[in-house]
Amino acid sequence: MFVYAIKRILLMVPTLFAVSLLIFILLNVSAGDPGAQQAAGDGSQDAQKGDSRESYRIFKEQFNLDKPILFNTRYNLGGSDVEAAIGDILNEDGSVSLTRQIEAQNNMDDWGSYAVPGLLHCLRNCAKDTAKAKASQRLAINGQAKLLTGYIDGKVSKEEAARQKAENKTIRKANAELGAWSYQAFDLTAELEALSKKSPGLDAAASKVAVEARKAAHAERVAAVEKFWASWWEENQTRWEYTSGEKVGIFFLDTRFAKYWSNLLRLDFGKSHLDKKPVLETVLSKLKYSITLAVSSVFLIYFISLPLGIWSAVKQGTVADQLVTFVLFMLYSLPSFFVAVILLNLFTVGDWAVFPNIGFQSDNADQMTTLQYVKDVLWHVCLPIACMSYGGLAALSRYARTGLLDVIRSDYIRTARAKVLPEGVVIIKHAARNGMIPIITLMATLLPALIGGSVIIEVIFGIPGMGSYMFSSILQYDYNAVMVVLLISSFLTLVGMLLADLSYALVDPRITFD
Amino acid sequence: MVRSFYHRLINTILLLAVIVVGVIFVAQNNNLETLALKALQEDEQEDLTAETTSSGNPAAASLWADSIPGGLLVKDPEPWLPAGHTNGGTLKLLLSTDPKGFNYLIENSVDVANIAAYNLVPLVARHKKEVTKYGPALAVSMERSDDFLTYTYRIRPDVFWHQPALEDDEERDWLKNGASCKAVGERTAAALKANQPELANVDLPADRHWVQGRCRVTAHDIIFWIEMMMNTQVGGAASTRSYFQDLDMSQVKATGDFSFRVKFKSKKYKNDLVSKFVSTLPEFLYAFDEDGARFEEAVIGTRYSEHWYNPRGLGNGPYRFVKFSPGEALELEKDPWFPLGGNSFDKVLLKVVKETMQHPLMLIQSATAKSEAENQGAHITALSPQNFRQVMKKNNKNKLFHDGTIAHGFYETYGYSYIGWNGDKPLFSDKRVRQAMSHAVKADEILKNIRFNLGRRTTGPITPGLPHYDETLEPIPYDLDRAKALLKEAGWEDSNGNGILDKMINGRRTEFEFTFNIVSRPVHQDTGEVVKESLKKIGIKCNLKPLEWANFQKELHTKKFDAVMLGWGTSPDVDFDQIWHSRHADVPKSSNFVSFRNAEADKIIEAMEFEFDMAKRYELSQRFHRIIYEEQPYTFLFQSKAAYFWTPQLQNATTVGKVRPYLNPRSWYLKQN
Repeated sequence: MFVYAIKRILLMVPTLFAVSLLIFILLNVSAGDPGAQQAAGDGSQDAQKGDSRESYRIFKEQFNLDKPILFNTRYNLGGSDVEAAIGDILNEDGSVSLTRQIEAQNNMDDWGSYAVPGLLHCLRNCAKDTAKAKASQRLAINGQAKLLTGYIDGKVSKEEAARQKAENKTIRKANAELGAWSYQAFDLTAELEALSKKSPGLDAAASKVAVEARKAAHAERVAAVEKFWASWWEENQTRWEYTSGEKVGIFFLDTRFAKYWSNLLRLDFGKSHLDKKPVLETVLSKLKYSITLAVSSVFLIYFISLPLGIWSAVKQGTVADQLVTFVLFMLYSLPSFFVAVILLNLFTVGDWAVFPNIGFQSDNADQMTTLQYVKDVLWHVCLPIACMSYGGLAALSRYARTGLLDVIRSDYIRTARAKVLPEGVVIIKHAARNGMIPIITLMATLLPALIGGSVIIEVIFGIPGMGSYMFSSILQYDYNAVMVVLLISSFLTLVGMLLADLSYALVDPRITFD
Repeated sequence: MVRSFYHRLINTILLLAVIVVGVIFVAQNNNLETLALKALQEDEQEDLTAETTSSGNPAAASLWADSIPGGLLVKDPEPWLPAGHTNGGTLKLLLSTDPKGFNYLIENSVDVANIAAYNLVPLVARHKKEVTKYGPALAVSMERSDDFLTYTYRIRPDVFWHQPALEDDEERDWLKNGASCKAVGERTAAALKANQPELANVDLPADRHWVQGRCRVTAHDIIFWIEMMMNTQVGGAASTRSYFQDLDMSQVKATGDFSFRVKFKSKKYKNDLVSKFVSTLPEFLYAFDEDGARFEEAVIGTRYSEHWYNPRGLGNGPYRFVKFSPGEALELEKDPWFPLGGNSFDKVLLKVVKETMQHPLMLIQSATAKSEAENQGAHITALSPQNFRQVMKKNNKNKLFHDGTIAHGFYETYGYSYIGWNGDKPLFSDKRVRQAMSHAVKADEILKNIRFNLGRRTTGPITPGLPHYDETLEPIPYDLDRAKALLKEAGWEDSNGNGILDKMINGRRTEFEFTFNIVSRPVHQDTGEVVKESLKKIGIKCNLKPLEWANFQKELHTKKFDAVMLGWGTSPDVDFDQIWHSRHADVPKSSNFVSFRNAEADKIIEAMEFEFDMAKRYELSQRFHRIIYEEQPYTFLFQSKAAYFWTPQLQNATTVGKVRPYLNPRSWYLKQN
């Protein structure tokens, strides 16, 4: 038994692995990315502007959205890739489609420091002045070294935090210096315009001289910038010299998939994109509402369907039995959101208004005594629990009926009857106890269905549980939240199944797992 | 065996029951304890306030504030609350989604902006009736230099930041004992002495803004707002930042604790508008980390964006942020010190009700509650068009909505809905075709049957009723014959007799068939169907393509669509640049996704950029309106109207005029019995 439990628990690991793999795939193939939602408004409206995209870049880095999904080959990025991307971003002849422009801009952001060798190559060798200028601007962004962020969560020692902060200071200084080493492309028309504004009466020859002077100054600036980057490269080259081992590391580990897994293994489920709070904390705080609903529903389903099943078995084949069966199956086929609306309109407003229409507790719950509070909550969850329960009645009472019918035909029941025991005692004491054993296993199958079904019920009845949290997280592309809710409900399901199997063996001596 | 199973089962159930009761009991006791603590705090509060003036505000200065000439500001003659109103009670309102956060600079969705109106005092306030005028709020005066570049402001000294909403077990002594408020005081005193020679010898103690446990709102909090807003690391502020691009940061300065100035690089009308959007941000909170250490300058933007206090809000306005429980409710309470009034309620409870079907029920709950203490509903809420139609049906359940118990009214919102035709597609590049499309849309019928008359036809990209709008232009009527004639003029005829119009384009016979992108919501889909049916009658094949928002947006950004149905939200300030200037036409993700290019329109937009004379602005805008009417880049549908309902307890439940938030609790009060 013990060995079996251990085996089952160990089996849960690969199952959860498969589940989380599935979640990862689903999240990554679904339409729309959370970054774009974040940058909605017009933060990233202008794809040309590096400045307004900075925060978008920071956001993507925070949630690893800048990394490739499965494999990372960015250590191979060469001059030609970068040159092509720059060409697409600049779109000088107007031939590049908007999709490609957006993609090139995103790529340039996502490549981060991997693009540096390519950018340098372009700065030296690109044909056009505009491309070179763009390369210099991108170098000032992509060439920045990453800040150390380990100290922010407060999980490291004080000395380590101080060391990281000190090191960040140096890194930041170096990064800020890079910003100065870029230039704008030389724009003849703009220069002429500025010139005519500055000194309107200038004749053609004089303005030509003035523009030539500006051109020379520009060339000087370009040379200085190129020289700076050349010497900077000499100093920092080692950052981009990967050994083959490092390349393998990057290939497999610097990816969304690897980060996702390393976070999962450390039980770090990340923060919500929306309120920036750890998702796990939020979900756990919401668990109590969902569990209350699920457990009470299971209890209610058993409480009603067991006696009903027994009664049907006793009355097997009568009109009453058939009527009950008919009614239960009709209930079974009614969708819960539909019933919820009907119940709301019947029992929360008008002449039969006896239940509250919304919430888990009253507005003034914090001023109630314990007894009042328990009553208040029970009063509030009546309708939601009713909606979650009625569907389960049909199946479970049918199982109970069959279970009992199987037993009723066995020899020891005949013996009991032969002893002239009253029929009630025979059914309740002898038959029902044995007949109900298989019903226990069904508890495991009820639990996931209830967690799934509670999403819509929680939304309709305004209960702030896991279901309604999942609902709004999906609508708002809060990936981390969706992931955690799904993982937790799969975990609960697995645990439920394990418990059911174990209890099966506990109550029925004929079953062993050894 | 069976017996033992039952014993175990019963034991387990009993154990569970004991645990559940125990947990509830402990939680309840905690609640009782916090209640006792709260009562204690309230007593202390009363002691404090008893010593000072009646409002409790130790710096009450409303007398002198009124006597200062406001410069550009004119006092709003409309008061918030009518004479003879009563104070007290809990106002209950509804939210249909969880607000994303309460860090008001970086959260800019509409619901958060509405909450900010309760929680924050604006620098200046639009007049409630004459929306182009501004009155004093936090600022008592605001002046503009003769070159239209520099704006100087003076603010009230009697507005204080509320106490931060801390958890019961949260320590944060540095926040509670004013250490950070004093640190800011010290820092700003040094800066003032260095920058303002006249202040060099004035005594500016570090704790000058720390008054009875609250930190005062100063000009430095405004400068801090500007600095964070302009910081490129602060992602949420990007859209605000795009309005302030012309700001000269080297000339943004506090010239005293209660005065500051900003300077713009050029004279533009837009700058005049944004000079009124400036707001406040509590530096004593947002510039400090969990332990009360100031963030380093180089990362302050990033750290501010993800500040530890973020799931909560801190304001300085009529109501204090108390608590937000996601999925449940947001709780606000009256700030007794607030000097500008318009806060009659003791508490405001905004309940999160995601299921819109519940909204009418919440009104019924409130209207039928035996007493305010038992009221579990909502006093006032706007209803969705579907709900509006539901409650307007005469049946037994809705009788409260018809016998006058639950009253209702309407307000018009800034913005319009439209169908946009992609001008880059050969099908829609001819304006006669676009005009024909507008004639083929049964707009009046859509308004009546799909939108239940909650709206008004518009003819251009300006909100009707504003002086910028040319009222002489008539809505384009539904007229299929006219549409056919226009299409024929543009060369579209059914030459092969298959029932669909066609035309030779670039040497190829092209059928008039296009895809119509719509957001997959019932209202949009129904509207799409009506449009599709009418187009079919004149030989045009329209394929509806309902898309979920993420995909819809993607096709919009890359201009991969023929026609779209959407809406724009606007404001009383009219600016055409973002949506209509041709220089945005070829940019990815731009707002000019229909690629509207018109030289004359461009000229008007550019002229309006520098025009300060309102009469001339109105004229330019009306000219622009006429060009758009002629070109029909959009088929303009409706300005939408919202229906709102309130229960008998709520008094003076009017919308204050054409100012956001449309439903503003500052003019309401509860009947006291």
